[in-house]
Amino acid sequence: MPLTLRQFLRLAILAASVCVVSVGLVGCNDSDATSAADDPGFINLYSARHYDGDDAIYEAFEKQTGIEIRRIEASGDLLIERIRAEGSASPADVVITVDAGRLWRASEANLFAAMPKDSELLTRVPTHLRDPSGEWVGIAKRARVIVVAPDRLAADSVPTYASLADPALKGRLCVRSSSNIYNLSLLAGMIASQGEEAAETWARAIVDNMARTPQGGDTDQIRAVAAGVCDVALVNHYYWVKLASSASEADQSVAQGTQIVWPDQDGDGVHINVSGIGLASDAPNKANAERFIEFLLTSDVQTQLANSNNEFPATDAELNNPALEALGSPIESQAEIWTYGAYQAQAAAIFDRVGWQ
Amino acid sequence: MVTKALRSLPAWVGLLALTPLAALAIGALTGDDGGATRALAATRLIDMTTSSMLLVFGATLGVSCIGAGLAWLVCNYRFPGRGWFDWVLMLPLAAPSYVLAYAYLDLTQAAGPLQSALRDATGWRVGDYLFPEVVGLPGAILIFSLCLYPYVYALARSAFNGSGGQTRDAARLLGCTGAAVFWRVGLPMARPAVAAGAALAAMETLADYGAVAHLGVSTYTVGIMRAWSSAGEPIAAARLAVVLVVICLALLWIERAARGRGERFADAASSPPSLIQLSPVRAWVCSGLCLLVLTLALVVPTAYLLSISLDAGPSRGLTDAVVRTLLLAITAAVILTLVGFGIASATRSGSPMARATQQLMSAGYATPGAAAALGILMLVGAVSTLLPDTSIIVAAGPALLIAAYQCRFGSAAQGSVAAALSRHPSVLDEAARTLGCSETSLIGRVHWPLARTGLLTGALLAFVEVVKEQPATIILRPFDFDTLAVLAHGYASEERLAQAASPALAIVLVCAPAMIAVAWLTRQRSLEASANRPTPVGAVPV
Repeated sequence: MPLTLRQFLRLAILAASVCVVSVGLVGCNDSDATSAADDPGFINLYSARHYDGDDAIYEAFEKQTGIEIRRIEASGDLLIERIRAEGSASPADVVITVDAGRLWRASEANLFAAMPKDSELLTRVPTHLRDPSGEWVGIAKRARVIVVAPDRLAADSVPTYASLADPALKGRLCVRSSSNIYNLSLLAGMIASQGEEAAETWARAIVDNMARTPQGGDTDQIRAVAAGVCDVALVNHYYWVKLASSASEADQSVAQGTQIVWPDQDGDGVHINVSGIGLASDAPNKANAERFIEFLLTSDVQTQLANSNNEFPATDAELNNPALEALGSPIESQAEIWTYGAYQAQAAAIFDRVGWQ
Repeated sequence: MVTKALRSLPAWVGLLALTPLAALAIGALTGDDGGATRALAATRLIDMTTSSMLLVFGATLGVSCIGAGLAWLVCNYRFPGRGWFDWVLMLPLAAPSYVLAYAYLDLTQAAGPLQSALRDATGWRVGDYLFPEVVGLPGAILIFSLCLYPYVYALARSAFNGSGGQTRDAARLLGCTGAAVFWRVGLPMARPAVAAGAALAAMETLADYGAVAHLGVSTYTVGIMRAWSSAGEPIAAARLAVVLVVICLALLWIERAARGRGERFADAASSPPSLIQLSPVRAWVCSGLCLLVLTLALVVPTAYLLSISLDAGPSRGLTDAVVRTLLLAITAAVILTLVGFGIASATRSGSPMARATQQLMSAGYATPGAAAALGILMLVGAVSTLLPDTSIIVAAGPALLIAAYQCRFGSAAQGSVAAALSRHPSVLDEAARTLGCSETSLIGRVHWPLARTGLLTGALLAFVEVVKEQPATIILRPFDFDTLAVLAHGYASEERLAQAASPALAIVLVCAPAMIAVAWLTRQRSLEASANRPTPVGAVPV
């Protein structure tokens, strides 16, 4: 029986309202941004971390405090733009992103409020890993490392980032696109420490040494080293650890065929970046948000947070990650990580000039 | 007066949904980008533009060859499985291009299972042999050709079925070989349909980011994202995006102009196509070709994703995500189609505003998803300054998402309805008016029944697009509202392909029934059309 427009409209309106109502129910069960006095309430978390292991930490916080965590997960750039657009009415309480440069950007856009400086927990994070004015703080550390195929390239022949520029490595290096934020921050760090000219010379030499046009992610670079496409790669350390501790035999054999080199151990130390957290400038649930930030900095949670992605705790909490501990404890760069943000645009311009895709 | 206002309501809704693009354009023209656009223009912008052009050229050629070729086989020849292939060949549209890119790069790269097995079996090392890796520009062309050929296939199939059967028979009687009939009769008559399908594919290719970024092709869209995320200059991204949209609109205009000329090929009378019996060998070759395309476009990537997802198990919150995705996509599809119908109907009744809206809506389709999301955020920002005490995104809730979908995909829904309407001569409207039908009841009693199949096709296409959409959904959704596309993106961005596989497969599974319905509907329609009445070839949906 064909429907007439009138019948269809009725059906459609009915169906649409059912859908809208259910979407509303599933989506935002209470849209008021602040919480009542007796109820412990909730916090609105904007996060660029999507690690499954973080869920357990959020649940532990909810269990311990009764404070509900409501989440939006998206890339840092989108989150920053959303908070900016929402203006002073933004429901955001806390913001987690995965690059120091992005934290700096959010801070530059006045999206963060200063956190209480007297908090003992905040001071557990070394000063070079948190904002000088206390607007954000690192919560987990990741290192940008060199991975080699030891049967084709001796680990001690590439002890530094600078050694990757050696013409002897022509056609033997794999690295991902320069659009990737970790490459941007690495180069930004070099600009900060060695100046723009040296950074550009290095980037140009890296492009000359590439075995192929950048493609895929960091894991793909490690796999390419294991497969013999290239002999050395530049990646974040946790991707290698994830392969090494994977249940899959194929992943394990990739890790066995490759080796991590902590760069610059006789110099500045390995380049460090962070996941960090900031208190939103117009946080409607400020007290709860501060509790959450402090919770993330307690020792047990630091260990757990680092483990959820095979990272290092930002505080001096213990590691408790056998696969990572087996790699030894590297000397870390003490560079002030907020400088990355200031030099990222310059880094992007250098990448464009030298043709690092 | 009231009815007139009501009739123009859909056009107003359509126009309102396009305001994010206006916000993007205003931001682009008035904002300060810190010199990022200039710096990019001085360095890599030309390369990026070139690779975008090569990609679009290759992908357009690919979808046209595959789509028109398969449609020709299915519409003209008898071969094993023809009736089945007829609709199954539509299915690859259910798989998002980013899913295909992830699966194929993983499968074919040097470290992937195929090359590893080859090296293990032969003892060769990388560099000792050649292997076709799906990567870079050729890889991206392959991926888009496989994902998007159904646009051309569907439209070309309608065109081949709907008209020209007698002309083709006549050409054969006059001694044309099969190939000559295709090149000299079939293709010229179906050219507008092929062009319309290829234009859709071209716009999607130009606007894509996920697949090209993963395969290492620096396209113009990659440049847009780079300006935003690397240089931290959303205004530069807005500028580049506006240029892209203008180029797309120009391409569309050229395509429409070309299609207008194509109408002279339309048959006055048409007949059901007569199928030609092939020799067994040739018939099996036809089946083999169809099966090959289907295998490459759908079977290989889904089977590979399934195999790796079995190791990882289903991702967290998969069932909830399926429910949310379905609710959201169904709601959006119903609303988009109703708005589309209103606009198409008003356009047919001669409303200049509706016609203008119809044309402008294509701009939404041509905008890269992330740029559209940026435009919506800019608009939200502007409104927020007027209403400083309200969080617009929270207050609007899922409605904002629906508005975003209307902006991006409104033209897909509207196009199908408009195409269904345009298949029927306007004398029907005039007859109805002469018989005393009011303008209001014309909509319900004439336009609605005439547009019926188009309404369903439009709704299903909108449904599929919404299920696959990522950037706007990710940033505009309410708290704790993960859809399948959001889950797939989250895992993929952490390089956890095995965990991204289950939501990616769920996307394909949710979209597949919709694509089957579209295929079935378009087949019904073309059979109906060829049996009952002349069909203008020019009236193909965009």
